[in-house]
Amino acid sequence: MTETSLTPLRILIVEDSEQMRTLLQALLEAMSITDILIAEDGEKGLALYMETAPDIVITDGAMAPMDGYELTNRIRTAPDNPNPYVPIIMLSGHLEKAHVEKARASGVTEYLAKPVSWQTLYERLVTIVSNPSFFIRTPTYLGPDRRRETHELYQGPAQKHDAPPPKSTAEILPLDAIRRPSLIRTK
Amino acid sequence: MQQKSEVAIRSLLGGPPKVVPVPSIAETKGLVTDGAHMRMDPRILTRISDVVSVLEQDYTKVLLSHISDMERAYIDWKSGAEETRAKIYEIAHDIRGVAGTFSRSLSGQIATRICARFDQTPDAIPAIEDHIEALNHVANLSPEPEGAFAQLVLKRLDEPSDASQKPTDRPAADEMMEG
Repeated sequence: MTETSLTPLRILIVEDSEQMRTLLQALLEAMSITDILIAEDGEKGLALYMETAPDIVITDGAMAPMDGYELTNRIRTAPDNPNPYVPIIMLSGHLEKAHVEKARASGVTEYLAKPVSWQTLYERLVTIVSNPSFFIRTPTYLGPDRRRETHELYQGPAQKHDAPPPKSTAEILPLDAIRRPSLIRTK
Repeated sequence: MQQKSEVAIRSLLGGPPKVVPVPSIAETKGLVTDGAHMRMDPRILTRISDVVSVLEQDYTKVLLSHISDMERAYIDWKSGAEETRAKIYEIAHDIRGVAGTFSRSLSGQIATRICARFDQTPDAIPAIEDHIEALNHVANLSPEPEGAFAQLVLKRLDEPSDASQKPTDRPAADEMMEG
């Protein structure tokens, strides 16, 4: 294992709340991330994204004139986007099922509830940076593969048949253990 | 049956879904070597905790300022300024999203209740005097109440109150009271 240096990352924050922007910027700087880009709404965020190609996007959900769901959808589907697979973390105060489903359908990588726990944000960033991912592309959806991971106890149709099995337990610990203890692989 | 539904879904989507493996950022940016796994850095956790502690002190001032703005907007609404509805909601939404991160969970929960009352009455401003007053009291306490006392405050706010009114209804209502 190696401790994570997030310094080389370029992160785009898209958030309409000044207070939240200040908080997120301070948290990222405490993580030694200095290449931070900030936009106040989805429209400006999309323009900045296309111009700067950040490694990760952190976006609010509800914004005007373009919200975080539309921003995510546009990033995933823009024909001239060099990286439609960019990890997108959505922070939202709306925890109703409809909002979560909307975020999922738009292709967000992670959906975190406000108020944000800074430990959770850091943990998710390390996980996203550290782990390879799988995306599903269909004519109507481009986003993370949300099927269940391959697990010896689950033989149903929703598992990730194409995902390579882990080489060892150590390969998926400790972060997977924090995120989804029920899915820890033992072989 | 299951095969049939899979076929139906695939034809609807225009073909089988394609799985695209995406390498980790750590790999593409050369943050690790030899496939080493990454973990959280305890020094960074300490640093973030320190930063949040400093920001907490600043946030108290910001929170009190937000509450003052909300009080002013509410008074304006009583004078018939309908556009203040969006302003009050915006402030409450901000507090709801941020307060909990700065150890002001009760303020955040009161703000959440204000937002909920607005969501329930799309065409009017709900009666939220009690909420604003409670928010003001709680925000002036450091640390904020937790546990049983916090639950008591929230329970009190959840009790039914007067029905909401549209700004234009208000003078008539006042007249009736005075008359």
